[in-house]
Amino acid sequence: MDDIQMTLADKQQQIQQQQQAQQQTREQRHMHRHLVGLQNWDLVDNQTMEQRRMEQNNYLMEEELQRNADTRKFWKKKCKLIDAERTAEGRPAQIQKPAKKTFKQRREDKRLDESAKEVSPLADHISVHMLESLQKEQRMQANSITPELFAEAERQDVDRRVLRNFVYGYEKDQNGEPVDEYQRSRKEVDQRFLEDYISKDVQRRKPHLDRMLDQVLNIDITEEMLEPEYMEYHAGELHEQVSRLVYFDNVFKDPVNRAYFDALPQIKKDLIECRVRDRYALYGQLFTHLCALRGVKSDGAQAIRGNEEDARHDRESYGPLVEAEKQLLREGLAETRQRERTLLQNEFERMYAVEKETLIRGGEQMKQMADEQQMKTDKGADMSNLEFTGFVTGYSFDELAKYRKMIEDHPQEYREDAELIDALYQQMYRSLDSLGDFKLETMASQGVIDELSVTMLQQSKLKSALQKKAEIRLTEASMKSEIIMRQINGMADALTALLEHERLSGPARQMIRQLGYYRK
Amino acid sequence: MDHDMEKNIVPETEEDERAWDDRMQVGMVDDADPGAFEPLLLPQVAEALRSGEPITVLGIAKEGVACGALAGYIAGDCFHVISLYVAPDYRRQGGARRMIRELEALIGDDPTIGAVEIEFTTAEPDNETLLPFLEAMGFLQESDSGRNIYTFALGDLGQMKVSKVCGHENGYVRPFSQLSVDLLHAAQKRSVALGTPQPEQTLTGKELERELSHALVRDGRIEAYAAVDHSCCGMLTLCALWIGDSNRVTLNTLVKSVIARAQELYPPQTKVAMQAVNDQSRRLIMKLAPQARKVSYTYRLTV
Repeated sequence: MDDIQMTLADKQQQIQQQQQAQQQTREQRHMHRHLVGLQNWDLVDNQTMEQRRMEQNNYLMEEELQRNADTRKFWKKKCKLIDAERTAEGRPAQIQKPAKKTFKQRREDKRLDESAKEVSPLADHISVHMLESLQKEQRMQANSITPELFAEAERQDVDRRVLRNFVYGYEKDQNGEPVDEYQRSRKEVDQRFLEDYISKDVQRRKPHLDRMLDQVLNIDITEEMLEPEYMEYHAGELHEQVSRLVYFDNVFKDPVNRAYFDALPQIKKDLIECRVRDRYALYGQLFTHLCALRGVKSDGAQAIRGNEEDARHDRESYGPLVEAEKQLLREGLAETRQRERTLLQNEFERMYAVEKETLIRGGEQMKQMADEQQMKTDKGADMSNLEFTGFVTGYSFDELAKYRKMIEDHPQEYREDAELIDALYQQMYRSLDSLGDFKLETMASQGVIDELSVTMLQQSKLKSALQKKAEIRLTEASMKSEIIMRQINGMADALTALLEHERLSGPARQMIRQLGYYRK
Repeated sequence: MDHDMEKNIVPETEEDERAWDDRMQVGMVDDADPGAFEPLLLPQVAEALRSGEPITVLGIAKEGVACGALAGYIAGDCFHVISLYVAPDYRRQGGARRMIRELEALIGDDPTIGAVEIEFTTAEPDNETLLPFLEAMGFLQESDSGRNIYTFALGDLGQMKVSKVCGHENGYVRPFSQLSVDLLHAAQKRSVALGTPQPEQTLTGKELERELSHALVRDGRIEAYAAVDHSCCGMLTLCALWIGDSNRVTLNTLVKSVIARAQELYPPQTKVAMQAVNDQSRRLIMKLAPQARKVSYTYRLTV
């Protein structure tokens, strides 16, 4: 009898447990449908989904910004405003001061001033150093262009000014040999360049044309660099750069090179116009006249001998000319720099749009797969029917699925605070959905950086400029993401506290308050 | 103390018998025109203010000279101090104390703000005096849940031995200098998508130490990396650590590879900074370098 009773009792308990499990499953399914119903957006008339998501992001960001702005405004009324006429010494981060010449250097300069004046009243220690720099540059170039190669270039009717100005040049010792291995490598590179360029074969010229193009596109001579302090020790480099800008026009117009330039990407063609062809004329004459005002002939690197009368004449003719040319340079640079900024911005936006398109396609595929295959997270939360409208990452899937499951797994706790939990869950859904827009920006910007590293192997001004734009957008989007993430973390904390009886954190309390509720 | 000084000294409160100089004025700085106070803010804070971010700035001035500034913002239920500086000639006169007290008074009436928090590192020598100062003001050190920055000298560790062909399951540990930029960018893309904290620059940025930064490569893909730069006060800094789906052994191997290479390239007295991001990484650092000194602090004052 007892055995039968126990079996019956067991059976009754079993039935009861089964009924409870079925009830629990029904409740969970009901809860699931209810939570999916909360995954929606309240669009107003004519509002697109993108606009509504942006509104959500702005609301979350501005909530924090506005709070700070309002509080600051209020505090300014409470607390007196303070002013001061000057700042005490000392700074949180020290600024490096530029090095000045030493006493010894200044004494040497004075000695050079005296000997320079013997050549021309216009000359001084700056002229002497400029001349040294120019002579070194031209000596190194001449070392690379042997008389034999020069004669061959003449026979082939190849522009010798292009050859002279685009070699690297090298330094040689008394025996005529390169002074070290580095100079030897420069000599060898120049040898290959000269042979290939003189061949008039555009395929052989191509690697050198790539190098020459990169060099001229990287030239950036600012007005400050044309001041005496800079020209004193850099006249040679400046002359090399100005000459390359000037003679690149000859490279561009050479019919042998036509096929090369026609095949360039549009951005490079546009930059050639903007950075090179529209600028070289501004620099050429100005540089020559600036040197002349110091008693230096830049082509040929010679001192301009003269007496007081000659000096006065040169000062009177070149002085105003230089001022007018500087003004033209300023205006010309301002105009071409503006054009260049637009070109770079357009190129960046084009690359960015391509990356974005690829990411959006990938995101849509992920959403489709999650729904069709009813994918689950590592912890078994259902990732289907999350109803995201925008771009989503794995993180968004994981988070929303996780908290949806948490609610479904705690029906008792849910019932105790249904209205607040619904509000938190819906806010979390909307925030994760709208966060995707910033994630898309971050990842698309990263994609541009990746693309640049693959397509532009050499670092150049173009690559740097586009990388910088991508990095700025990446940083901005990351910072905005962080603000939204802080809010989402507050929502997550709040749900965890309500459902799993954890301590309510400060951000959780703040989020609950933001939704119009109050919890201690 | 001369007679003139005595006249100007005012006791602060009953609880705090230290005095301040009442020629020192405290108040709010006009955010639209911070004027002489701007150079006393950290450059990035001054820049943020110029770009219109709603940062609150308090200042102290003495006889028309701006000599200190405090700046911060509210997030959640806390006011975060992001810049606090007093010019050297004006220290030990109660200036910083007055700014904090003024802030407390402002916050006191706002029920939504319950605390003031300040994070800093003592890697900057100037900041070492902050510790006793904040404790005297009633701030308490917060547990950062294992998220502190630690420093140690390379010579403090024994000679780190890591196999040159550091095989690890199916993968190998390699320095960034031996990896293509494509591989590095792909790894960073994945870590961005997973919401991993990112360093200030990309993994191919020129400030990164490419010989010291290491990655675990498996099946032609980077599965984990440890990146090194000099971002923490010029020291060698482990600025990013991502182990993806890899495990603790990977974490140990990566960090040891970094240290071993650093010992080959730098002298023993070279300082290294590492930030723990959780208890696991904190335990790793303490195991690796028991003499490691915590240099990052979070102090909180409940208002």
